[in-house]
Amino acid sequence: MSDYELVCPAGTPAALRVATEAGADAVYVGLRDETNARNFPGLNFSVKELQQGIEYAHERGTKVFLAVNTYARAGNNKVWVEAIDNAARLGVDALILADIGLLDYAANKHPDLRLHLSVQASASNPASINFYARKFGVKRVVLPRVLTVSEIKAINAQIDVESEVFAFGGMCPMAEGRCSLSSYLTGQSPNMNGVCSPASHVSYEQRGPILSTKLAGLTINNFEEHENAGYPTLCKGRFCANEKTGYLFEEPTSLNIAKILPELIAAGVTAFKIEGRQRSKAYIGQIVSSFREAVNQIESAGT
Amino acid sequence: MDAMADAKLSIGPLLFNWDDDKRRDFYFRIADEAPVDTVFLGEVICTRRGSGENYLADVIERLERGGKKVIISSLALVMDDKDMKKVENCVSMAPDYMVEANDLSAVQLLGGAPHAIGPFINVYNEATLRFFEKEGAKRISLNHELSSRKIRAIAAVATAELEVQVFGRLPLAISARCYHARVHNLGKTGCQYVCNQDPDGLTVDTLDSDPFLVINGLQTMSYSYCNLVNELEDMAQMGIKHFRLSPHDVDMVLVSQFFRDHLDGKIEADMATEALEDEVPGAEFSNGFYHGEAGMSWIEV
Amino acid sequence: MQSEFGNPRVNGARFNPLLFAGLLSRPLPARPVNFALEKICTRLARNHPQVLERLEPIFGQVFIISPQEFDRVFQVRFHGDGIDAIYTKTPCEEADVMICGPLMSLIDMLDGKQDGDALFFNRLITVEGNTESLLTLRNALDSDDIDLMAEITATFGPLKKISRRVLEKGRSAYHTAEQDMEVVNTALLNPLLKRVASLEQENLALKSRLKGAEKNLERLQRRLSSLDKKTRGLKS
Repeated sequence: MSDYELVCPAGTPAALRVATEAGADAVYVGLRDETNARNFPGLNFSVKELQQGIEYAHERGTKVFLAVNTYARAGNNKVWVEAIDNAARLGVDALILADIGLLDYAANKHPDLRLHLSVQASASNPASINFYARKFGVKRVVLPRVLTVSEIKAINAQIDVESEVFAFGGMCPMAEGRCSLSSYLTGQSPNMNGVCSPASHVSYEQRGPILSTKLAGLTINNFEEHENAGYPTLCKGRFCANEKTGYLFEEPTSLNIAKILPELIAAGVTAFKIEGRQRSKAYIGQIVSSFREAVNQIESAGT
Repeated sequence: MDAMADAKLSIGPLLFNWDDDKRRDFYFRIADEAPVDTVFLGEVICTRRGSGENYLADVIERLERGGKKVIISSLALVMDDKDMKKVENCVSMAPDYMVEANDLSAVQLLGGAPHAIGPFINVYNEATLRFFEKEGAKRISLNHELSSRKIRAIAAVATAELEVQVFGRLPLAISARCYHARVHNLGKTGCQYVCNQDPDGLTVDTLDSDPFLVINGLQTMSYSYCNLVNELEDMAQMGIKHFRLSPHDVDMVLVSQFFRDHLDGKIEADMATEALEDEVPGAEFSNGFYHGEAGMSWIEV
Repeated sequence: MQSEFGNPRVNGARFNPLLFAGLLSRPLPARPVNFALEKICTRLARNHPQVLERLEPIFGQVFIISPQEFDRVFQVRFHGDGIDAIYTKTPCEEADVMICGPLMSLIDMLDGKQDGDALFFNRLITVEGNTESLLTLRNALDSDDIDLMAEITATFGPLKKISRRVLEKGRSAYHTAEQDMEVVNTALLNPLLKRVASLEQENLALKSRLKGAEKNLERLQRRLSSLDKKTRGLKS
């Protein structure tokens, strides 16, 4: 067990096994419904699979976190409450929550259950983080992807809880948990449905040599034949404004903090999170082992 | 119809970067002529924009003279010390004015004093509503994503007064990055305040020239204007007390008059929409979120 | 979902390895293939019930998998009792999803050795139809440790060692040939293709600008007529 926790995604039981074998300190998973922010078809865990996954991981000294990080539906929050109760019953090592109503419920109903604040709660300053810590006993906060190292350092100096940062994967340019771009086009959003730019609204259109990627009928990007294409995630498209065409919100690059791991450790970060519960197990195995190696190297260098 | 007549209109915080004179003139007219009950003041989007030292006192005085209740809105995205300072300044007005918290940092600083919860804080369900009521929220603005069914469920248990935005571009997202600066090839810190060039936001087109979003500094908004004039009666019956008109560079006195007239039963919803179409030339209207559809869509009622 | 972490791009997917393609394009006899398919499907359904459970949202939908080296396609349908798959020249005309690409890429994708997104976004495979259904299939197949090669070879019983060797050989021959072809493509075809592509791109860009101008004009006209209406209203 290392000093810094490597928190890895597992969208399926096979990915959980791969991540565990590849050296994850913890894996985070979601149930197969709208209670988590990667509610993609064919992905995630049944309650039974979660139980088996926890057994498998615990036998190998790996922790399991359950993400229940969407906002419970007004009028019918049954699945969300059940997810929390199941997490407590099955003995997950932490529950990752964003919704204040659910945090309140979990803190009162299961006081011994360890709570992490999801990035979807958009807690980007010490006052907010301390509020969650005081009111709900949150033990760790997952910080927004857009914060700089110095901002992270400043926040850590003023909070009493652990911090977790995104180390690798997709980059969200918008404040997480405060974005309804997806539902504006498709009716489905990360906050309500656990999906962003859902596949049900995606289409690909070949126009001559150009591959056009669309969301809800609107063109998100056009790729020339020699270009690598990309999934039409709304904020990662090419658009025009002020007579300029290009990646207005976000370049199609990914987040990778491998090079600044030591600086982040110095900034007081406890855990590094790899994004991508929707990614294949082949991908998970590759990324988790590389990061395991990077973290090990830093530790053996005695930082 | 009583619920309709009892419903109140409010002018939300100005989200765009207008210069001080334009702001002053705007609020003076609202103070003197608009049939609204509440006016929200304060910079919600960007710390770098002016904080209104030159006009705020005059505007507040004029609004109060005009019988309007003033609520001070706090910053939505709070990242560094400068942002936090801004929130502190805002909360320091709390003894005299109601403060609308748009980030949990403001709720934390308010420490249980009576306040409003703004639309940038996620209230998606009854349990969250109850939590904030317990913390001292007297007035809560609901998220624009919520459908009528969800609004109804929340309204059924609310003790705080609820508010829903019924006019204006929707605040879809906020970012640490300034997209106005980015589009002008400028850095966030050397932005030259280019967001003041677009009083209603800068249109974003798809590669097929379909306009669908607008940029407003750190904020990304809908290209279409939310228009829930057809849904006012439905919401009033549910118990929604306040209807928010988000300010635009149009005659907001007239816009609020159309909504008021409809609430008072003087004009039909269709007529109000037609009047709005004339007043906001070329605008596309949307009401999809309310009907549980894509936010950009327009559902005929 | 994002493509940015894909495998190194391999150029010229559509000019697939002639060598290997030639080897495979000799029509596979349909009857034995269909016989084997039935057995493979039975095995898959029996050994991986959780995968089938995940496929529930797409039960009944028709997937067509079309290896570009073959003159026939695989038509696959999942349902509560298992999997139906046929190798046919006349597939259902209303497929929900159609996937085309080099055989080995398709196998790699299906058994999770390669990231399906990466293959698609690198243009190695092409996809038509319901994106969500494809995603469901991809996620479900990835949720368990399915060794498609092993399932295929196991089906051939006593012949399995040989068939496995043939498949593995095919896979490595394919990957080598692919690299060779890349060299050829880069040297000969790419400059020409780029020129064509850029011309078409230009054409498309002009078309889109024209369309944009038309739309702006329309908006302007709307605005004008509404202003006009207003002025008349003021006058009266």
